[in-house]
Amino acid sequence: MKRRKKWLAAIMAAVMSMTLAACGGSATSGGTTAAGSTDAATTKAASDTQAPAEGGKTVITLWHAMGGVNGEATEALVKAFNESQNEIEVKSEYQGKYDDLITKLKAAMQSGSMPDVCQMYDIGTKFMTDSGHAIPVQDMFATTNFDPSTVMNIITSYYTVNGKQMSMPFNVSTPMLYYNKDVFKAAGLDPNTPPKTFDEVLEFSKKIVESKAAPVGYAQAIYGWFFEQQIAGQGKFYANNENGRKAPATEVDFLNNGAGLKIFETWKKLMDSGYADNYGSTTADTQTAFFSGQAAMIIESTAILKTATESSDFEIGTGYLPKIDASAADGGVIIGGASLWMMDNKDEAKKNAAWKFIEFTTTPDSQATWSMSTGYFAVNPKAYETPAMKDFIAQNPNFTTAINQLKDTPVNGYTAGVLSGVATESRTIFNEAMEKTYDGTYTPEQAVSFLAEKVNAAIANYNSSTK
Amino acid sequence: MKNKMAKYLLYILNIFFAVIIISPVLYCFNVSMMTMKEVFSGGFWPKQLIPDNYIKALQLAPFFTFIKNSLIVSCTVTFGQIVTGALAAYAFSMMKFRGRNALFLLMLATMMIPSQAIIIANYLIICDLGLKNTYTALILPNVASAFAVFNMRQAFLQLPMEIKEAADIDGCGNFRFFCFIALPLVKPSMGALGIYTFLQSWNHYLWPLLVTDSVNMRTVQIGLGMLQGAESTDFRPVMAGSMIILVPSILAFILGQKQLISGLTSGSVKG
Repeated sequence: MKRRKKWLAAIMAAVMSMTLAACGGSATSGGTTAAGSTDAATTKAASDTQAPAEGGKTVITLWHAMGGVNGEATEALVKAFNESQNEIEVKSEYQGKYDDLITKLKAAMQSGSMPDVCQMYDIGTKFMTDSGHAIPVQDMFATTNFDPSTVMNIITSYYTVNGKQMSMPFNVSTPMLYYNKDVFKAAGLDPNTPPKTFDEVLEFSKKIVESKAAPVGYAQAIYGWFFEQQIAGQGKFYANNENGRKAPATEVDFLNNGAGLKIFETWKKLMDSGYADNYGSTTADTQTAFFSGQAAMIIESTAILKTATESSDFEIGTGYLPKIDASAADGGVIIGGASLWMMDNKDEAKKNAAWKFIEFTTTPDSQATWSMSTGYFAVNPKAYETPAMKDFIAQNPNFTTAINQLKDTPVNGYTAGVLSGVATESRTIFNEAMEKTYDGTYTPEQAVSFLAEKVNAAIANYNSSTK
Repeated sequence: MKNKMAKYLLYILNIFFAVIIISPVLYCFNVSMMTMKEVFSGGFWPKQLIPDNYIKALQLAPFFTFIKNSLIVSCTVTFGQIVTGALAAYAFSMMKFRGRNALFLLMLATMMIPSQAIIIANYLIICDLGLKNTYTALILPNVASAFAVFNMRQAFLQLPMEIKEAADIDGCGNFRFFCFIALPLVKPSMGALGIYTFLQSWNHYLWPLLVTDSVNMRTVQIGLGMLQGAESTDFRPVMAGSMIILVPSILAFILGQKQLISGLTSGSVKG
């Protein structure tokens, strides 16, 4: 009797420990999908992802990372598509922020439960291409006689790998300069003439701080995206093999071509002057410094224009991204944001349906609505000719700066941006290099070699894992 | 007189620290009442009390559905961890059997594995079992934890061995002893574990995001994510959403705290 109890105890403990190791064992009560009482768009996305067809409709799934107002705009776009025809139904599902979405997609690739259309941020382009799970959108152009020139060349160039357009740009932005016009006036500067180069940024900042118009002249977040932008701005490559677009990049180019050093030197000089300040690597903190009137000029994405206008108690001015080297004619900005990818689920009907949805997102009307409600660019230039968009631009003259900057950017290998499998890692390393330059641990020379060495190691590691 | 002074001083200190601790929550509430320009104008108090941001938050994410889901998941997980934790801990502390320590160490070792390392493996298992997008998927991997067993074992070890011996002499079996004598005595630990587990489960983000796809299976933390933009965020609905989902966790704490205090005051062995 006693012995049996001992065994029971042992088994009890063993079972407990095993349940911990993994989630095997017997399942408890099966979960049921409860019907939510939300609006139509969300209830549509309710039932199972793998639903084959509803009333003869082809049902496809879209995964996206758009929260807040952008999420609303995405739902509206999907709704407009679903109502525009009756053969295809798109179910849109929010899957967290960009980094969460890529984690989930990687897991879904392993378990075979991919969506049909997936949004992916700019720096995920190399991963998506190498994954082998994506259908290049260019392969679908012929099926509906889609004209590739529908979307601006400067935008598609980022998503073009080995001469083939892999995905369809969805939400597009570039960085630009935001400045406080009230402060400019108080400092005796012309509120309609923003600085064009970093020399001017320094000069203007000095005037602003010395006239006590604002405590800080200029600020920018420690953000690898801005570093990449300034390399393109000088008309130089970030990595070899033409930014990794002719062949996979094997090492960085910014060390040898001198572009990296110039950037570190310029920014260090600016920060050391005492007229500029550093608010760290969280872009929202730099935004706050600007909205609250503390910093008079910042570099930010064109996509925050709407938020900036609504948040600030002063008149906002915008200008082109200041240049390091004003004479670089080949330079310009690189687009950022995300694009829509077609995932290969080996289903002809879904593939065609996915493409039809993607094609729908590029129409002038779709793009005009999308651009007006989110602040991203319209990728289709015809969208700017729609009456609604014309009104919008007339009311928001700052948006013209963003559009013109993009139009003025030459389409070439520099402004296509780097195609890298280690973009996230590189940006993290950049943060460290920049912080250590600002605090004086590294000289600009040391920082650039540190950055180049670490990124080269990451690239080598990535290349050996994908071979 | 001196005693009274000390008491007042203690109160003043208490109030001082309470204000420090509560001020972020208060600011969170204040921001949820502000207009866009007010947020960045530097003021602490809102100029008005408006529900606009709460309406906006509820428009962007169906928080009531999320709260219902999170309550179902967190309550089940809490209940499961207390039951499995107490049962296993009882065996590990009150019963003697071969390999007990080895098993216990093995179990403790699972605490060293970071959850990120096994999350994808767990996800694939859930997919294989066909449990994706169900409550089971949200609950199952968290229904037992090494920490719960460890925590409860510590509580059982605090009990004087004499109680167990007395029970053995009186012919009280293990199960009866466990239910009627040991458990009531470790109520404070169960309360503490309950609060901890509930809050942890309430704050889960990545796991619910991985195993659910549809909006009406999602939990509260994903709801907060749905309010944030990629380049810039309007913080007012985010703060409003935070206030909404704060209520159940505060309730959980109050309920658990009652257990804590009632357990602390129950006596056991004389002297």
